[in-house]
Amino acid sequence: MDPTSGVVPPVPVRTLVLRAREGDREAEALLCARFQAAVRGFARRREPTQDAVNEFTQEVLLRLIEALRTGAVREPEALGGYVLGICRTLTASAARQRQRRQELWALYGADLEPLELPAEGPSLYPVAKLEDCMSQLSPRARHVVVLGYVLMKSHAEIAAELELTLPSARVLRHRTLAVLRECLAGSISWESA
Amino acid sequence: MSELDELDDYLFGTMPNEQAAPFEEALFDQAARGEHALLDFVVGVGVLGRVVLQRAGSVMPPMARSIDALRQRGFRVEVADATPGVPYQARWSEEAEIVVTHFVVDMRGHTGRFDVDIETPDGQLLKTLPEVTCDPDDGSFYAVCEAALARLTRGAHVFWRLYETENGQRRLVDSLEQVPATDA
Repeated sequence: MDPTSGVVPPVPVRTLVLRAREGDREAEALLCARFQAAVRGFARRREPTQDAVNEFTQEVLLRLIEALRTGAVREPEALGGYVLGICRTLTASAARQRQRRQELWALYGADLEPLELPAEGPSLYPVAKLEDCMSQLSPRARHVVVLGYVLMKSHAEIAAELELTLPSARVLRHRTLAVLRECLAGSISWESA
Repeated sequence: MSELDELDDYLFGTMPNEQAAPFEEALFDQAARGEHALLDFVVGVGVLGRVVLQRAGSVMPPMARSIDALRQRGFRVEVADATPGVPYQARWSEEAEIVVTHFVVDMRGHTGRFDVDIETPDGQLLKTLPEVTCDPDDGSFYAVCEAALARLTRGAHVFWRLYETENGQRRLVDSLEQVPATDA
């Protein structure tokens, strides 16, 4: 790490796993937070609805908490592969999931709840920032963000709704996402007025 | 292809499975190390985008009827008229959740594409609202905005410049001066 950058390096995963094993709930929460987006991404690729993605993510994180507390994670450095393994196992055994989830929820649900990303009501500053950036997109680009990332439409559905070819829909999504990322990295446009 | 393009291809299934398997292994390894900024960005667009959509509804071009629709959904909506030639102050109550600026122009009969540039008095472009749509009933424009964002504009001195592009020619059709609100 560049010592002048002022960025605090992430705590090593091994440290967090060992702390979580000893009952440190903050370490557990940090690990769940690290994996939340990756698990959501895994689910987004496979699940058709937002609810299904939420449910899948919740279950994987519950299983992660269980594994951390029971000492099932024997190689802390390989935790990434371990969590991916949970994801793949769950995908392969969809029929058994619901019952298992209810059992896990009864045991660990209260600890997971505060870790969830807010579905509604997050701080309004990032909402305002996203709105500011989206207002600078063309209607079509805004639409592709809403269809793909908010409404979770599939690649083919997006292309059909926007009356684009599949390759054009993909290019539009890529370009729009890059523009949005660049815009969100800056400040709200009005702040420099 | 950028990392963001690859991530998007992965999420939308346009990355083939044989490529996706090692890709997601790397993704989870990065997450374990605390390197998940890109994933957080795309997940954040979805989460925050849902809030934007529920509130200001940024897909449909806003029209007069959008205001009633927002009120029917229970939001405290305030509307202010902004007329070219009359300095405009962005003043909103603390109770407002969503604010609507109504640009009182009449673009009926115009067939070009409209863009709005927002500029500081010294000509610095703050932002462009591309391809805005006028209300077919009266030819005016409505800008629907999250109140938290709108309040940031209270102290601004800017010019809203409405351009029409037709046959490759871009021309200024109207301009509105926004002055700092007196209570700002």
